[in-house]
Amino acid sequence: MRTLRLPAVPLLALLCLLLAGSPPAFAAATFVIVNTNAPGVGFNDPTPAAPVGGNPGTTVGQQRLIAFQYAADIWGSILDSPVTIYVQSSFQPLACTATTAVLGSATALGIAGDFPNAELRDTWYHVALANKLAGADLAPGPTGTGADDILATFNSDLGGPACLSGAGWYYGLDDNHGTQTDLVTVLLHELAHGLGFSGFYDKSTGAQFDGFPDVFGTYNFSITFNKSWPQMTDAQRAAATIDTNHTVWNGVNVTAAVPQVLQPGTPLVTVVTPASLGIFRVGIATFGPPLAAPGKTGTVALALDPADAAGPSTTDGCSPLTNDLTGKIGLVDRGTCAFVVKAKNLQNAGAIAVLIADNAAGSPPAGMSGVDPTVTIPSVRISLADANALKAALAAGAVRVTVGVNLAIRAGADPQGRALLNAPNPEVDLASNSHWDPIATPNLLMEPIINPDLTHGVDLTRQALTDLGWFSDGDGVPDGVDQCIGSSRAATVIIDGCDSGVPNTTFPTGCRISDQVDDCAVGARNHGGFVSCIAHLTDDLKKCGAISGAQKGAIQSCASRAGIP
Amino acid sequence: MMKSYASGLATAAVLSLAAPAFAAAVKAAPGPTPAAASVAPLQIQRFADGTLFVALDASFLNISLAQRQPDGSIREVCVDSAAAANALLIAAPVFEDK
Repeated sequence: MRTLRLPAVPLLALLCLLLAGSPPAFAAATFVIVNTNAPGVGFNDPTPAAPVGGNPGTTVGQQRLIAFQYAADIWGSILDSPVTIYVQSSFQPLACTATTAVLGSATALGIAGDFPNAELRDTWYHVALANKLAGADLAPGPTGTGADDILATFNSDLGGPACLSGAGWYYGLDDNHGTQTDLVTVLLHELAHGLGFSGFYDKSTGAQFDGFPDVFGTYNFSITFNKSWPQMTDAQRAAATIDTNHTVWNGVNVTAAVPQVLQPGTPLVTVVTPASLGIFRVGIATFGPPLAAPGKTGTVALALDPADAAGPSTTDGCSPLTNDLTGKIGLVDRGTCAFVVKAKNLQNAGAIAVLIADNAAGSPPAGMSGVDPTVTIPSVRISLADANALKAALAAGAVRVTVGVNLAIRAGADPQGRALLNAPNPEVDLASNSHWDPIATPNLLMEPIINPDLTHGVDLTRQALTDLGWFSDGDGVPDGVDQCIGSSRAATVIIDGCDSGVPNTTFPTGCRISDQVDDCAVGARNHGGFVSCIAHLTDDLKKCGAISGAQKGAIQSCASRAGIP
Repeated sequence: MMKSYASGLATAAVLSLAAPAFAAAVKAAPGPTPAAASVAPLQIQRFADGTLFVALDASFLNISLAQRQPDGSIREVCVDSAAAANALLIAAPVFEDK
């Protein structure tokens, strides 16, 4: 089996070269949709329906079931498990108003720890993943009970009277949902939570479930505390949960995929002077020109206007300004009047860009809407905390900032290229770090906002599930740090059928000697090249103490006799 | 369609308070948030092979919601507690122009 190879880390295997390789040959996973609806409702709704978007069902119930199975099969075609995954599923009337509706929900029906072949000890796993790693159903039992693996319940009333009327489900499989809600997309998202993309700690206190970490949290890392979730105290974990822009995923597979998935460029305010203030997250505006790279750099000045009927504050920018902002970046408070009014007043005073200071605590700052085609300077919204820091700096001296897109930082990643996790403050508004940061561009499946431009892809979520262990090679190295997922499980180094008898050592990187032999085979233009590569490899392995002189000879002997390439 | 019974749950026993290490101490584990906590405490089961298992309840649901915005568009979000879902159900749309 070929392995998924990732960039090397400086460990013992520094001498044992790690080269790029091809993706693993994945098997599949079987998903069974367990229909728990009573006759005549939900999946059994007999209401006639015309086939739509590749969904051939002729009743509402049939179309629901087909869409469920379609979404499950997408995951089934990607993931690898010898154990059937049972999704206990139903459509039921769920909470609704005329303007808001629960679409659906999902969760793992169980968590397991310290099971056979668990990659991480003393760690909770979602039961479907635990079953996969154990190679057996850890909690077997009848379907339709707690012995199933994932619970998924969706709203049968959506789109009906008093339930977001007119905005019902789209049961098609082609993503051509228009203004309707694409069931397959929501299912892909919610099923991913049940498969592993969710943590089980208490987000308000930071307490872990029964005092022990979960596998998802293992790869949550706080930049502020320089610790992963399991390494933190409860208080630190609670603080990191709402530490916007400072919580990342540190699994190797996601990080390796970030450059292929997230586009370069993050809209930011970068404080040039005093540099200690660093960078600020921004909410972008629907009016004015889009932020550009390198952006606008200038001295910050507080915008001043009369306290009058248009606005009661002298810093709300609701009236024509009383100070000159020519060539400067204006700072104005949010409130009372529209964002576009403020932007226009600052533009008229000569500002080259606008910073709108939020008037309510929280981060990241939300976007700003409004229409005024005569606004020609860029505007961004910054958090109240960041604005207060800027104002304090202004009181102490000159402040210079750059407002623009930082091309060195990918949209949805930190400066080190790790994917940002959602960490809104306050936490209650949107699910916290069981999602990617919504700043990600292009939009990702597991952002807290399920965006209408998603296309049934699984983007970075696939790599996250890889980090979690869905493709484990059982080498004892957790896949979030394993740089050779899919290593041969052979106990000895075997080359083209020749068993060298040399133990197939696993290095701390998760790579084995057989992986490096494979690299030689892939890279060799001819047999001589392969043999030469093996000679260099075994020299290095002997130098780093991984093999003896006799073992070196045994591997080289097999290589010389192999029909490679 | 039935899954077969094996040794797992059939031989499982609810842990005693004296269980060591990973399974230590709290046998009635709390839900994720006070607002969403289950009425009945969750119980940790230990199987014959040492596997620990907890059947989760609705307090662990991830919940997706849709909300119509003032411009008529639909905003779909996912939250991880009933409390957050309830807050969104009664919240005003988030479309902000001032």
